[in-house]
Amino acid sequence: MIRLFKNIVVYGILILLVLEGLVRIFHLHNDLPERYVAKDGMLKWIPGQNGYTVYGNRRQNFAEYHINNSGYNSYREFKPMDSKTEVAIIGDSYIEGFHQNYYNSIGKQVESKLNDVEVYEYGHSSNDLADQLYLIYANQEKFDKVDYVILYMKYENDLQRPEYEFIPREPLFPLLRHSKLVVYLLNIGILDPVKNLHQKVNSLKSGMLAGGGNQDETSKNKPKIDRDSLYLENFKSLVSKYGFDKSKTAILLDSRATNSDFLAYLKQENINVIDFAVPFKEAGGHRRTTLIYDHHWNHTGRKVIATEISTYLQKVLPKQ
Amino acid sequence: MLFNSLDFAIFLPVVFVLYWFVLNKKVKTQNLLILVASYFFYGLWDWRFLFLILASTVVDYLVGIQIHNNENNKGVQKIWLWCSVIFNISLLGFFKYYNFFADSFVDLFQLFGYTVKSTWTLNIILPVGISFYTFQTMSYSLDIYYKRVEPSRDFLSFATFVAFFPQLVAGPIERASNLLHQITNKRKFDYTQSVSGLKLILWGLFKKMVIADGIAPIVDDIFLNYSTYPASTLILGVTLFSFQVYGDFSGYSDIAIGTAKLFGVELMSNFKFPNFSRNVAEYWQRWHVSLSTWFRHYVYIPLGGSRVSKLKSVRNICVIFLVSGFWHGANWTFIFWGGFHALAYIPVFLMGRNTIYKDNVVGENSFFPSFVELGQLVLTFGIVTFSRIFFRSESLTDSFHFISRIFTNFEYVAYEHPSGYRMVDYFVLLAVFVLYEYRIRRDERNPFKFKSKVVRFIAYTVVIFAILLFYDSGFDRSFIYFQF
Repeated sequence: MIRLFKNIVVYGILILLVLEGLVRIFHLHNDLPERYVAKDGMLKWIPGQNGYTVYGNRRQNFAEYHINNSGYNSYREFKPMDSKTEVAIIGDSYIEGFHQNYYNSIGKQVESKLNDVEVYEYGHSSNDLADQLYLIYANQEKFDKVDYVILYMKYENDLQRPEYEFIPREPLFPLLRHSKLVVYLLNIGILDPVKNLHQKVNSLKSGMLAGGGNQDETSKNKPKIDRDSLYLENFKSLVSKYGFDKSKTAILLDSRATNSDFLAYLKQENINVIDFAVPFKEAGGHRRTTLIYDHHWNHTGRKVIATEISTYLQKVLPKQ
Repeated sequence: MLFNSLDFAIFLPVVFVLYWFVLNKKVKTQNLLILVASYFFYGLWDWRFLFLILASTVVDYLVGIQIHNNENNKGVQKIWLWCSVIFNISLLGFFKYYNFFADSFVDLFQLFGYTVKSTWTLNIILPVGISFYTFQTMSYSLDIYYKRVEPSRDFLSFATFVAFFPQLVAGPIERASNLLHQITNKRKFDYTQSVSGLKLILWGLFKKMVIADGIAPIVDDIFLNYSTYPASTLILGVTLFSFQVYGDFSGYSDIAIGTAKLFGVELMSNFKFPNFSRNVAEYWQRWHVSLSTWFRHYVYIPLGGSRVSKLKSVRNICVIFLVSGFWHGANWTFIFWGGFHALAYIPVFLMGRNTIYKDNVVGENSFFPSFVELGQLVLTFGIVTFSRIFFRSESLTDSFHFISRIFTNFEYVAYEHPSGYRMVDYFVLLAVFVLYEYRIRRDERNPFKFKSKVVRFIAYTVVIFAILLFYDSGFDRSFIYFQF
């Protein structure tokens, strides 16, 4: 019996070492860049980092990234001037574009469809509307020089906060991430059950520390708030706190996943909207516009977005 | 609990350690542990259906004793035997076939122009593994009746035999003569047996997670959208499904056999490389062996088998294939599938070629198969694969539409999966898999038969690496045969 356990351990360690080597040799792992807190108080990527992002097994999505001096993944440096025409696209990981080569990003595709326009992609994973509006607010001088701003908003996720607040973001199992094998396993979802278990234990712990006991019970006692009303209130609150220049701002959204009352409110307030619901449907729907092992847009999806943005900008920008 | 889940990865070592280190003094405590573990294993799906297993266990335990106690009274023995058969078939009939019969009854009336509103259809959940454990318990009573085994007087051992978790939900369907005495007798830890078990588990996981789950999204897409695809894609879809169902079920069986070995129990082989069969008869000696054996012993032979006239033998063949089809699922597609196999088997039987490949494998005396054998393999694989159209389709209408599109849209268009799966990966994978299986075709219980330790180590690593390369977290990973 001891022999069996000894052999399992020895073989197990050797196999793990070989797998670690194979993952590194074939570059199956994701090189996630490192973050820092910038002067404006927001989380950004440390400038100058280069690497490759990998999503899905067998390198289903393999892309190169480059972090510019402003802390965003872009081939451009962001230097807005009055003499140039600049467009800022602000959003989360969809705009950040780790799923495509940085030199073929949505912004680059938009630029190629327009004349003499520089597109700055202010995308950072998990950023919501509070982050986006605060970014403009905190970098007012810079954004005053930008001619047009497009905010990418996912209704489901981006309106949960009424104001900006700094949230530190630590990756799960930071120490284990030194192993490229672990990074790969986390990426392909094989460790999802472990991750879920870890999250469950953490939430249980925090529940116990808060003396909450049964979380379901406490949530039962809370007054039920209508989610859509809350999101609308949050939107109003963010706009009043950080401002919203309607003359040069548009919201990029999917109307299929957005509350109709909220859409009506935007219309009533004369806020410009770029809706990609129909073009996405025409392009073949979710399956044809989304990556296989990830919920982000694939090449087709990004192409549709770039086309929609450039078509819109052709209408609103002078000299186009 | 699925074999390819984190739950099982925790459950198995815990039970293993308790079994050999803590409760290893007495066979009774080991059996109690296996029984509790098996009920826990099953109860995670739906604890309510544990009562069905328990009921089936109690009925056949009592029936077995009564049959034995009335040795001198054939009539009474028969009554007790029928109690077991009726009880188990009733369980199956209600949970698996009730809605099928209710709907077929309505359809029959509609065929003659009467409109009958179906008010009998019930919302019945099919208990996982019911077709497997009911057949196993029934075989116990039948074996006692035919004096093949003595009844068990130890309820704990018998309950463990019925609920033994490695094979509870999808077989192999064991006969009491093979499994019960292993449960009753004291097991000793055997290093070689455990290592052999671990190897089978690894190979089974590879077949399930890489072969079956890897190609499943492609098969799903082709069968779901078959009306939009040309013949070449449909042929690709059904061929891939053939590999999918083989990888899925034989993978499950390997994990089951391997897990049982860890507890000192040898289960029967369920798959003997059926893709290398030279005719349909050989295929059925290699595919789902435990079910084929069951039907041979308890249906075919009692009907007279092949010892009666040719006509009656043909009738017997039709009966077992139709019943076998119906066993798979409450749908006309399975009955057609069974009927198709009967039609493919009968010519082989009439030519007297149904047992000629019983004791040898393709390429018996050489590494490569002869050209004749190669032709036989392709033909048999083609016939079996064609029958899978019925097996996979949702309805008979879909099956016939699928077939008619193959013959009416005969053109080649390279298939592209809508989500962009790289097809070449799967073609290379299947080619390597087929060649490797051909290499190991003589011994289904030893998939890593290499003399050199280094080569063995490389093989383990490659298999684990392949699992990591083809693992798809967004895919439903349950086993196909659980639905039966």
